Order: sequence, then C-alpha cells, then structure tokens
Amino acid sequence: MTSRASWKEMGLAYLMIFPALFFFVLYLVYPLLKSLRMSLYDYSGIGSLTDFVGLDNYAEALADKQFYNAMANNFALMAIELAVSLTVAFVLAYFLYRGVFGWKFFNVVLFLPYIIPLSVSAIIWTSIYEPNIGLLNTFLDKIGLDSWKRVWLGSTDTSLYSVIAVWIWRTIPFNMLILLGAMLKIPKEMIEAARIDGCSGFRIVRYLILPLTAPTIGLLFILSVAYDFRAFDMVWVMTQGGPADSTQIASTLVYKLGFSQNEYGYANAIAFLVFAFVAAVASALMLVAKGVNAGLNRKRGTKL
Amino acid sequence: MIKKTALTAFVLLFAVTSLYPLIWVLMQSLKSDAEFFANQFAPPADFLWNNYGKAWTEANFGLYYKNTLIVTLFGVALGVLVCVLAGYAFARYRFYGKKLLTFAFVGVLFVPIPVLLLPVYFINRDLDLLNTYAGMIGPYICGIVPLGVLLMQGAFASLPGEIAESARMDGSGEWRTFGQIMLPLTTPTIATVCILQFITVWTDYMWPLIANTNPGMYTLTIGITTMAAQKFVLGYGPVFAGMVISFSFIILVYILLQKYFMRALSDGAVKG
Repeated sequence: MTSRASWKEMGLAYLMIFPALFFFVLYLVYPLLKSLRMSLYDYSGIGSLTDFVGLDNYAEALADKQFYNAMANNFALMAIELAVSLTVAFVLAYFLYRGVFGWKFFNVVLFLPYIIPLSVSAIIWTSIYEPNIGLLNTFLDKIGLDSWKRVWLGSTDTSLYSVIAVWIWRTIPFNMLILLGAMLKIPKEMIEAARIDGCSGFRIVRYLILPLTAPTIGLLFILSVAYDFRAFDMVWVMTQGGPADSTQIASTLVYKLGFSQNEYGYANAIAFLVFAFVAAVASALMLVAKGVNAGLNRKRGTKL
Repeated sequence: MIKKTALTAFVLLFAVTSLYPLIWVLMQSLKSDAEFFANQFAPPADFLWNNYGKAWTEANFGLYYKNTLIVTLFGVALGVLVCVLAGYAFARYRFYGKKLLTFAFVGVLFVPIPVLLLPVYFINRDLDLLNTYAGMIGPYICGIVPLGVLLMQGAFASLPGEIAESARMDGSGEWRTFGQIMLPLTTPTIATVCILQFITVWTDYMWPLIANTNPGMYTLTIGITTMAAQKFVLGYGPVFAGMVISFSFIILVYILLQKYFMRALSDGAVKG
C-alpha cells in the first residue's frame, strides 16, 4: 500500500466513493449523532440546544405508558405479520412451485399489493373499512352476517387488527417471491428421488423443502424486524395512531411527539430506545440463524 | 390433473383478495355517488369518465405527477450514479476505512426510521432545503447508498480480473477501463439498483410529508391522501378515480418490466 501507484489508486478510490459518502454522512451518520445529542436535551425545535437534561428523557420514556403501548403494538404488528404472512406466503409459494394453471397470470396478480404505494393502499382500505358504506360492512350485510359488522378502524377493539390485516395483505407477495425463489433453487433431482422413494407431498415439504428453505425463512424474519419497525405510511394514513393510541406504533409516536407536541428531545430519546430494541432483536435473530445454519450444515455434511 | 386444479383453485382464492380491492375501486371510480350508495357490487351502469377529469383537475394530479416524476428521476439517476462509482472503488481498489464502511453499510439496515425522522427534518430546515426538490432527493440518494454500493461491489468483484488487466495492458486509463469496459458488464445489477430505487422513491410517503410544508411540492402519495380527505366536497366517484390515477402508473411499469422487478426484489433481499 505504499508504492506510488497504490497511493494514486487510493486517491482515485476516495474520489469515487466521495459522492456516496457525502450523502451517507449528511443524511444518515450526521442525523444519527444529531438525534443522539438532541435526546439529551429538552428541545422545542426553535433555536439552539441549551437545556441539557442528561438521561432524563430516557428515564421518562422508560416510565411512560405511551412508549410501552407503542412498542407492544409494533411488536404485535411484527409477530402477527410473521406468523400469518410467512405461513400463507409459504403455502402460496409451494403451490406455485408445484405448478398451477395460469402460472404467469398469478405471478403478476399476486404481486400487486406489494407494488402499490402504501399510502394508496391505506386509502383504499380505509374506504373498504368505512363503517356505513365501506365494502366490508356492505358485504357482511349482504350475506346476512350483520352481527359481524364493526366500526373497523374507529373502535379500539378492532383498529389494531384491521391495520395489521392490511400489513399482512401487503407483505405476503414479497415473502412469497423470496420463498419461491428459494424453492426454485432446490435441485429437481432431490425432489424426484424422494418421490421415487415413495415420499408423499406432505413429507417432501416437511423433510425436504422446509429445511432447505430455512435459511431464507430466517432471512425474512430478520428483514421483517427491520421493516416492521419502519412502518409509518400505512398507520399514519389510516388512523394516525388512534383511536385512543390503539394503533400507535414506534414511528407514529415519534412523529406525534416531535411534530405535533414539539417535544423533540423526548421524541428522539424514544427513537433511540426503539433503535436499541430493534438492534438487539435483529442481532439475536442473526445469531440464531447462524446457529441453525451451522447445525444444518453439520448434519448434512455439506455447505449450501 | 385434479391436484393441479385444486392447487389452482386455492391460489385463485388468494388472487381474489389481492385483486378484488383494486377492481372494486375501479368499478366505483366510474359511478355516480347515488349509484355507489345503491349498489357497490355491480359494474357501473353508465361509465362516468368525467370522474377522472374532475379528479385530475380538482385534485391537481398534473402537479403531483410532475413532482413525483422529477423527484424519482433525479433520485434514481443520482442515487445509482453514486452507488456505481463507490461500488467500483470498493471492488477494485484498496483503501483505508474500507472494512469500517462496509460494516457501517450492513449495520444501517437496522436503523429504524423513527431515529432519522426528526433530525433529517432539522438538517433540511437548517440548510434551507424545506420545500425544495433538492431537499427531497438528498435523503433518497443516501437511502440507496448502503444496499446499492454493496450490490454494485458484488457485481464488479464477480467480473474476472483479467478483463481490467488486459485493458490496462492495452493502455486504457483507469476511468476508461471503468466506463467503457467494466461498467457495461454490470448492466443487470445496475438495472436492479434502478428498480429498487424507483420503487422506494415513487411509493414513498413519509419524506415528502416531512420535507414539505407547501402543498405545491406534494407528490402523488400525499396528493391522494389530501384528496381522500375531501371526499364529501368532491364526491366519492372522483376520489376513487384519484386512487386509480395514483396506482395505475406504477402498475403499468411493473407489468411491463415484471421480470426485472422480480429479480431486483429478490436480489435486493437476498444479497442485502
């Protein structure tokens, strides 16, 4: 690394990474530090930071019911999404893998919910959930299930689940695409051999496809943790966290505390606690995934 | 054969849940309000194309499309450009701080949006970038950097070293080797990064909401929510037409480039 040629190379390298680094620092590294600093102050958004309060904001947040409520809702969003969306996506991917009529058509249509902007989906579903003239209640009326009618987004009993349902609707296509990709990578001969040995469809799924797609499922788990704590558009457009905070999640709480209540220092402290939580869960999952993969590879004696 | 039919029937059931909401919106978008209240499940009796005209003018969709196009165009072009340059440097050259940066790029996948929400607003405010295209585009360029650089690095690194070596032997300078020999060989990955960035920018709601106070700068995703709030003034038909207007373009692009979309999304997930 000391010859003149490599110094020249290094200069060139820095020149090439500079633009990317500039934006990365300006809009990611610097905001992170700024946010961390702000979280140590009482700050109403005007002027410079003067009112240093140390870790008071964090202490306050850890004693705040709002914070736990938002984390619990966000966790429910993630857990239910993972359970339902991954299961359905796995089944759909497997069916597509086995072969259906109109494969091409389904491949396009099943993916639509993912491609529509989330805020537009949120608007569409708001009108579907609308209590008086919305599609859902009108439909229930029509098939004689009036007693099932609810004020879906407007009552605290159903609001969170109604929002989560849209999130599931939206995440299935993505999970399906990734799982199908993983299934298509399984060598066809393996499945054929199992079938010739008399394995039933269910046993092929249980003992071949599921273990072989396990690393992908692990990856989707980790991605979901990252994405579900970024969910903002959908909740903000549908309910703004209401009614009575029943759909408040991490991002909407931070937005509300910051932009509507001007408690920027406090809002940033909460944001950092969310960050710590997400980082902890994600790294724990990654360690588990690593362990599982290592275990699988040992058992199989090969590395996939 | 029976089995295949059964599988198809099941998949069809799910296809209905993903497609019907859109068909429902499409049907209502051509009805009068009276007809919408009377029967939602029938196709429109006569097609009120005027709902679309009304939506387009009353809700300013021309403006929203213009803003969205500008922001997307620059967000994609500049975002991809900086990723390609940096990815090349990461793959081809040795420099101090490479490990640290790679680690940082992987780590930021888990930075939750709430942490950036407020400070990015303040940064734009302090730089006088609120209500400007530059203020909207900047965070998007930053957004694609970690994943985009890693993907491009992988693409350049997978090219055989002899290609660059023989180019050098032939007397080609570093920039020419990069631009005329190496770059064209990575078009599939460049397409992937373009599509990922296109989807992010086109469908985003949060940054345009935070970065602007002036409705004249709103993009499609915010425009439709503002419009939906006025359904009692404008009528339901035009609002449904507005929904169709705001999702039809990206669906069209998706159907045209379906193969590339699929590859981009799986590469983005698996390699990121």
